[in-house]
Amino acid sequence: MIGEESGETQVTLTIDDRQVTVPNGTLILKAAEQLGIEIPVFCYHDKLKSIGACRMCIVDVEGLPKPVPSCATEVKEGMVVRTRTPEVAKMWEGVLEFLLVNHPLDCPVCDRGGECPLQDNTFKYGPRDSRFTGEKRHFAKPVPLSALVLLDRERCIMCTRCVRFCQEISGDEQLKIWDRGHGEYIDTFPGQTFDSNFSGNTIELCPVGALLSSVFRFRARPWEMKGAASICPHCGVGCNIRVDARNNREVVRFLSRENAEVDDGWLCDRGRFDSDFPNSGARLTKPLARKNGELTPVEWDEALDLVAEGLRRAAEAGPDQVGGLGSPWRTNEENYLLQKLFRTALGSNSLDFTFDGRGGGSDAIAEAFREGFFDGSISDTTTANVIFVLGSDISIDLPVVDLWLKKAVGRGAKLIYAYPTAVELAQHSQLFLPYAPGSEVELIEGLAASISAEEAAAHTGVPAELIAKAPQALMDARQTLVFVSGRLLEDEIGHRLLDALRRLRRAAASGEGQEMLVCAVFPDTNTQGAMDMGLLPGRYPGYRRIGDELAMQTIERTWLTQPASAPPMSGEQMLAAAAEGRMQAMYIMGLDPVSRPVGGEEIAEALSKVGFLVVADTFLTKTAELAHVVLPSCTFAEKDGTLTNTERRVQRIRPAMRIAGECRPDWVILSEIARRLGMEWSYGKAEDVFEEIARVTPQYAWLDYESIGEKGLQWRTG
Amino acid sequence: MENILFKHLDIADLEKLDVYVANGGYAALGKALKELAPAEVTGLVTRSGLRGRGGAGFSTGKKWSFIPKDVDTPKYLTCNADESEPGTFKDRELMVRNPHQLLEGIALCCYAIGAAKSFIYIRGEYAHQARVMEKAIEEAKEAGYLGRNIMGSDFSLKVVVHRGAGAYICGEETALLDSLEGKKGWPRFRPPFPAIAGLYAKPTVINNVETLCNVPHIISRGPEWFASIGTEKSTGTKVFSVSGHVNKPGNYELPMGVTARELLFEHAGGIWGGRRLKAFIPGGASVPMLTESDLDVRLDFESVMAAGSMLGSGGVIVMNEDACIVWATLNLSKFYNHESCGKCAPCREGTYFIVQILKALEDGHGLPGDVEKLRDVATNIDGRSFCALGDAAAQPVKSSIDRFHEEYEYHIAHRGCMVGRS
Repeated sequence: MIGEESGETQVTLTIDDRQVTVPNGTLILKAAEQLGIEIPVFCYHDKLKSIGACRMCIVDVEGLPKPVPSCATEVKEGMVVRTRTPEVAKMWEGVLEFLLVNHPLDCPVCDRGGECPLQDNTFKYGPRDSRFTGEKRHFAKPVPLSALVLLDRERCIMCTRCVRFCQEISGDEQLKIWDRGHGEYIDTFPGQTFDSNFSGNTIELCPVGALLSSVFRFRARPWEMKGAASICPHCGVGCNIRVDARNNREVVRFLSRENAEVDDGWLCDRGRFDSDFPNSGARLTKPLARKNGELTPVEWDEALDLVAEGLRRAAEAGPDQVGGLGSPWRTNEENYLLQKLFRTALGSNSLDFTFDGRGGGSDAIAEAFREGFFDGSISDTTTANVIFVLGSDISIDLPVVDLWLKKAVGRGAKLIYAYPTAVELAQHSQLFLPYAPGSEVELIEGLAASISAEEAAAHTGVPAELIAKAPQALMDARQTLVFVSGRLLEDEIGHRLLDALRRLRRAAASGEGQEMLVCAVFPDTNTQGAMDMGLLPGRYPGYRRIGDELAMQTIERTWLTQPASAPPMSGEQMLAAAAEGRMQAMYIMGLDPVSRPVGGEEIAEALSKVGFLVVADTFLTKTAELAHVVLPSCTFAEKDGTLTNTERRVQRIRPAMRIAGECRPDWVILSEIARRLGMEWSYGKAEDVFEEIARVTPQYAWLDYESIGEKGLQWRTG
Repeated sequence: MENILFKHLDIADLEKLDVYVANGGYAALGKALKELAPAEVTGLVTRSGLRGRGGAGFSTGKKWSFIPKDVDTPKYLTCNADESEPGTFKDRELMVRNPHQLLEGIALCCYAIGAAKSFIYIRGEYAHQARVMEKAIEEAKEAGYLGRNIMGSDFSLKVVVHRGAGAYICGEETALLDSLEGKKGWPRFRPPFPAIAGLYAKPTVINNVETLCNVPHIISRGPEWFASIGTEKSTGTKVFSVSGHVNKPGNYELPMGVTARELLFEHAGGIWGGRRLKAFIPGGASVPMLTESDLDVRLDFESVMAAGSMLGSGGVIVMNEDACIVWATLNLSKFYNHESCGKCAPCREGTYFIVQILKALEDGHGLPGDVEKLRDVATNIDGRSFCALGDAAAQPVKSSIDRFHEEYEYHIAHRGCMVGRS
């Protein structure tokens, strides 16, 4: 009767005279849900442990002397539950009356008004009139818990979801309950701010308007907003979000749109609170062309004619004199069309999405993607016995994966964390290996026991006894999941690192039923997609080599023209050529390399020597300021498209608000340029571009907008 | 009637170890360690019919028997010495005047359930009592009644005194456990019950001071002897703490089943000021009030229940005819409002609501309908709160309205008290 029993057995019970059969251990609340019977809750939340505190969900169970909280009481065989009796109705009304005793009825000025569980439940189950005529409890308000999160303590109903989130999910224990009884309140520790990376989730968890977003506060009423199912544009996790726009005019907030495989229902603060940029008054809204040395507003036709003419002329000078830079912040459709434009109309293979040097690693990584070496997923953290992170500060690179890792550690997975410095997640690891940068290969050799722990220690600076602990853990694991920094893979040591990982996989997956999964870490939103789309020197979409006969035939069948086979230049090579005045034209889409913290000045100098520079972007960036023509692009909130996250999941973004000014999506801009260069492109919508991507990119062959749907799909090889 | 738990009234200096031992102290422990298996100790306690003296009256032997046997995990006994129920001050005297009686009871329980560590959770205000207990523990340890290999046996026990920080809720056994673990004192959801997952999630028995003080006597003199005292279902004696409008307030150890009349008039010296009795609360503040017509109720678990109240902790609060019931109820309600832990809405907000209504009545601002509202609010707390604190808060309100309705109505009609306040 007490404790855990096997969850396999089924239990049949009766709720409101209807029978339901559920697994043993199911809560009454969830069993009722299966029958479509609503039971109001406040403290209960699917992602948090039940505490049965608020008493909103109490129901009558036959034979029990008192009502029980359905959110914390497990079903029993033959149990008879009643939720719709006059007695229960009176109890619910009573609890709501209590919750309202100290709750200010300031719904008209509360952010939550209109989408508030307390308001909704009061209308459904609460008292008609207020019997409380005394003085309500008062607090100073709102209290800024941080620059982003405000607390209105008078509205708080002490459900403690926020406190439990900090305890159970983010693990940083930043919010606590202070004082006692009707005087108690939520606060941080004295003198501390609520600076968790995940603080914004507490706003969404709050069932009243107590926790407020400083970004959203007083911005919109629920009935003025419409939400678009989209993807957070701020990192490579690709958390699913609902983009809420007010009156179709401005984005006012991002909310979580739970994807159980990607974000587990959480967003990081960096993602959630950076929602305002599409509304910026500093946006580019009209094309600009350089006239008499000044960037001057022009009409689209004039700008596009200028671009087409400039690119055409430059290409005539030779394909090695034009190049394009796509972006990890643009959609697959846009990056795809950029490379198609260069490989068809301009005859150039000089395509990339960065000016950063790649010491040859990019070819190794491209090859690894082509052969399907990377097979790990974020959700594998729920099953892996050992998780090994190499060279990435996950909390910064892929913030929400930080929560997945903590959850994995919570259920008993071993975390082996290899990073040069003691980052936050290292403190949650069972084994922390602080290695000397550059010694990653030797570290892995040590873990795979292909060199001795002592030898690995000599190279890496990690104590041998620490390294020696890893091989056994890997050997014992049924499933090992590796997160390896994409930056390391692209680097000088990329191919050696991949070889080392292959050896590690042989070691960790040598036994019956053992496997090792690998997931590359790309912090930027669509790095994976940009590579998939062929913005890699030397690779067509799908990582097929330039000059590969079969690839060229497939592509030609779709493009109705042969793709360029000219020798490619990488971003780094293009930059060098530009510095020497050898670049006739460059097209930079959605990238601002001049604003880099290091090396920006050199890049500016090189770009100023490019014969004809086109920049398509959302803001007049430092890079755009150097351009001959600047084209105003749409942000992610104004267009359709797909993004591919760090675990190779293709997900859709959808327009949330009307297009700002005269902006256009980059795929439209590129189509217009192509048309002016004599190409017969006929894409009516982004989906048409994706259909073509699926035809020429083997990994995407089985994907279309419909099957990607709301939750996305991972691409696959073979 | 012989003093059993209160032998210190007959024997001077019983708090001293040598005096305690000279008067048969620690003989029960010696007997158990030599002659009885742990399960037999539990068996004797079960047969004695001893029931918890903290208020709930649950069978002590049964509680001990819930502790899993033959499981290789630490087990704990936590002695609840939080004694914060208003009108209750028996444990204070038991600890100060006869600390070794409690320690012997603790040792016997730990032996029975297989615990090697026990905590005495004592209310923060009992600083002197805590010092007495700590001193007694040291003495007992030196004399071999606590510590390693007690009295030459294999049984070892460490007893730790832990002082509370001033919250009534920490007398609730699961809130006590959270507090003892260093957390904010909030009651826990049951199941799991403490016998399965209590302190540090390990099997734990939580017993009141007075309960444990009975155990050495049961082991020494046998369960039949114990069961011969009191009534059939409420065996043994009970220490009643009598306070309020009586001539001789204090603790009285009497057999279970003594009438309220005998307790108040023969032992506590009758009603103060030569006045008539108006109301008495038989079991600490948390149970319904009784009136003069209930004076012949026998003070045992069943009889008090039958009369519509509860024996509770045995703290008897007496009010004479000059006491204003509305004021008294407000006073009690302020206590519960102040002590509500805040975990559940009915108790946190309901006690606040009640105080607001009672204040208005007391201050002469009551309106017609307020009494019905007050009773309804109390009803909405009763049975719906997370723990017994909310239920307790509802009792004085509901019972006083039921028994003294006209006094409440008088407050509304005349904006003041029906009786002169003393």
